Amino acid sequence: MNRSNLLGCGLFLLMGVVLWLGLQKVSRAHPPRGWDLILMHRMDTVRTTPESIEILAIGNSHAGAIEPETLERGSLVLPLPWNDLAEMNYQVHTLAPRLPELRVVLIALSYFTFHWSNDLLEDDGLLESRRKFHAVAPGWGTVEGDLESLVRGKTYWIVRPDDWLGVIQGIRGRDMELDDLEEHLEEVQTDSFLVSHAEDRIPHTLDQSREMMELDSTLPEENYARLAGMIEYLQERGVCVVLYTPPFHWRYRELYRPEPSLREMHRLTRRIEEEQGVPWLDYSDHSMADEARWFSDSDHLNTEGRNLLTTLMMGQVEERCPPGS
Amino acid sequence: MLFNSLHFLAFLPVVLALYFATPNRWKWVLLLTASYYFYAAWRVEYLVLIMASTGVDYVAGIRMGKHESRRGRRPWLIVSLFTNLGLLFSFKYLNFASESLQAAFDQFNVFYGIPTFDVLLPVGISFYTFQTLSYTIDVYRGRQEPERHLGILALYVSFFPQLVAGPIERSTRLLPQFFREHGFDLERAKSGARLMLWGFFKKVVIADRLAAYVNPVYADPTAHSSATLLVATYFFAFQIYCDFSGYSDIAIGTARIMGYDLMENFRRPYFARSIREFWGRWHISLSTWFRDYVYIPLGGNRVPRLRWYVNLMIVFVVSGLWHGAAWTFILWGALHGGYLVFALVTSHQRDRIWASVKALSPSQVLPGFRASWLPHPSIDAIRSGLAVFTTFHLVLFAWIFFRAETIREAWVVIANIVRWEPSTQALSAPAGLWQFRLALVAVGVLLVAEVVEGRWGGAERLLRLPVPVRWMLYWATFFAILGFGVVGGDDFIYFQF
Repeated sequence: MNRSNLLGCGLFLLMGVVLWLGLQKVSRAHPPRGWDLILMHRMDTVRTTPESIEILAIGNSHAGAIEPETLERGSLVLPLPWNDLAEMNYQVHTLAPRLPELRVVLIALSYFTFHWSNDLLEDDGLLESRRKFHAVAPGWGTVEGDLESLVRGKTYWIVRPDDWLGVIQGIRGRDMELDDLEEHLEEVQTDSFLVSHAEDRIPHTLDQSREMMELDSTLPEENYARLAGMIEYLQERGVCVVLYTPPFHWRYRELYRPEPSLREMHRLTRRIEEEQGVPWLDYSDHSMADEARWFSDSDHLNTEGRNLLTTLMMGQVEERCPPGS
Repeated sequence: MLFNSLHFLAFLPVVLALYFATPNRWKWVLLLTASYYFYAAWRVEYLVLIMASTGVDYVAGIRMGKHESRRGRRPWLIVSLFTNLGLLFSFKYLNFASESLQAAFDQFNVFYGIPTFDVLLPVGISFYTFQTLSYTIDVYRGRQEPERHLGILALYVSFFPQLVAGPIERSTRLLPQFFREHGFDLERAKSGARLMLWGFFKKVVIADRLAAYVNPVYADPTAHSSATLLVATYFFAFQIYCDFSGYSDIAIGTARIMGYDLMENFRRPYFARSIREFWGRWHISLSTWFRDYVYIPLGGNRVPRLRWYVNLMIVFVVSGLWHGAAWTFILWGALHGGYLVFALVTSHQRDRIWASVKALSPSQVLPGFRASWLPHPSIDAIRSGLAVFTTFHLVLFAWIFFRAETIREAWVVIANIVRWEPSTQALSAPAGLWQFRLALVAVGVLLVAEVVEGRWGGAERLLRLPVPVRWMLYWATFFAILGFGVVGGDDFIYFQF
């Protein structure tokens, strides 16, 4: 190739880069889903004011039981739906080195956390949170070698799941899904709704979890090792770790109670508590879990519920991890 | 390995880089390794079938080369045909034949437990079987020298760009290319990349988006309105075209970058003015294969008229069967054969009708119509337009049988469309309004591109555009693929054949 060919190729690629950046900017201004916007704003603090973050809360959607507004210390709450322990491990390793003032990490444990791995099922939707984290977070590492999710995450703003509908709507002045999301979070539910929600949700979750266990019977031990490794890493950095399980509606707990996986979850979490000296704050059967008014669905709190739980929990957290410790 | 996968997007640059860095005499080793890896990425154990076909045809070719007469070569041709068609029959048609036989016995209340085999259909078996058969038949006919280099013959059978879905190449075209020197040629690379880009656009933006509408409708035709079924059928015509021609474009483009010329497989088939012309534009590598290796040996058109029609019907029924082991495909092929025979039978009458229409003035055809409204040669244009319209709709009708799971389902689709019952169901319901709109736009883009290509030429016209405009078009296509393409979309339809 001669010089003019090389120059031509260079200019052609430059044009592509400029277009990519321009499209990405437009796309980020009108995210595909309302939740993306909240996530983006929260992650922006990691770039803009990392020193303001003292508390990091991670987990699947159950990590959203903490209300960042109610916390008196600077925080980053990242509830990512169906997040598994491999993903949490990656998130901790990506974020912790970038947060110089990080003192406390709150890790949400669900009943199925130890029996869950998004890599095992051929369900593309389960990997959505992984990709979304890659899309909004700094860093170019992979979750245990999953290169495809990294590529799809880093191109998320161009390869949008909504085929750019959000941008068209946004340009027309309608970022609808964010409104929908906020409305949903504010909803106060009746007990009968929560019962039917639990009865609808749990069989599906259990089926998926059992399928994962059939594909990998050593999954709980592997997840235990991931969690233990993550805690060790944080403790070495001088970060105080607290495990917690948010309140679940009584029907949700009732349906889960006969499950051997729940007993296994208790056993493994107690083992972590003992071996690594990490407290586990289990609010799943707290008295607030018997009142429908705190829930938006059978395993997620509404704003009032989140405020109450955060207040309750922070007392315990301050005791175990005092500011400046 | 799928072309529309991250695996291929990583595989191709690595292969290309190694290919151009490898000395010419060793390029076949790299390509053969890459081709086997490409196939093994799907199922490693099924590589054995490709190797078996290659081995048998290598020996058959060499043995045939030792005989001057066709008579002496014939036993080895039979060995090749028996092995290749035997494998194809065992993996693709055995269960269909067993079930059909069982159904026939059931009609006469004869109980006979015919065994069925639960085996996975090897991807692309119909394609590489036909490709390797073209080699042995050509050696038998004396048109091709027996290939003494086993590695090159293996590469001919398994060349990765066209291994699993064609174009089905002839040994006389492709084999010599493996012996030529292939250095990097920027113009070829640009031309190949352009074709690949367009192929990807057709596959992931058009075909997979249309599939999102077509699949749910054809999965349960009774649950959808007449209008929805009609739209889904139109969409399927464009889906299968973009799916298959998209694959061919990517295959041809990939090979072109490396310096190989694969045969053109599609030439704007929906603009054909007759079914005969359609088959000269659709899956050209297969239709010419059937012409050369089935139709002509049967006598072609150099036989009594009735026998000619029978020959045509045989070719099209076998072509239908090649596509799939099901009665729907056989009926699809028979329909096309029937169309062709009908066109031949009525050819004179139709010409006479048009000649008399042409002799009339427009006001005689339509009272009150002024001749000045139309330029004189317009009657030919009208005939041409009508012919395109009619051909497209005949093809469309046949696609219903191709797409439906069973003949019974195909009749349900046809009956529901013909009955035309009003419905409150929104036309966009199967995929959602936004997806429906995108699908319409995608089909529109395809039609515009094909009209432009037909009228002003495709790549030639594109290359005459100013550089910034051309580059913008390339990037627009690229970003359309990323932004509007269906990520993790369907397999290529023709993989199943």
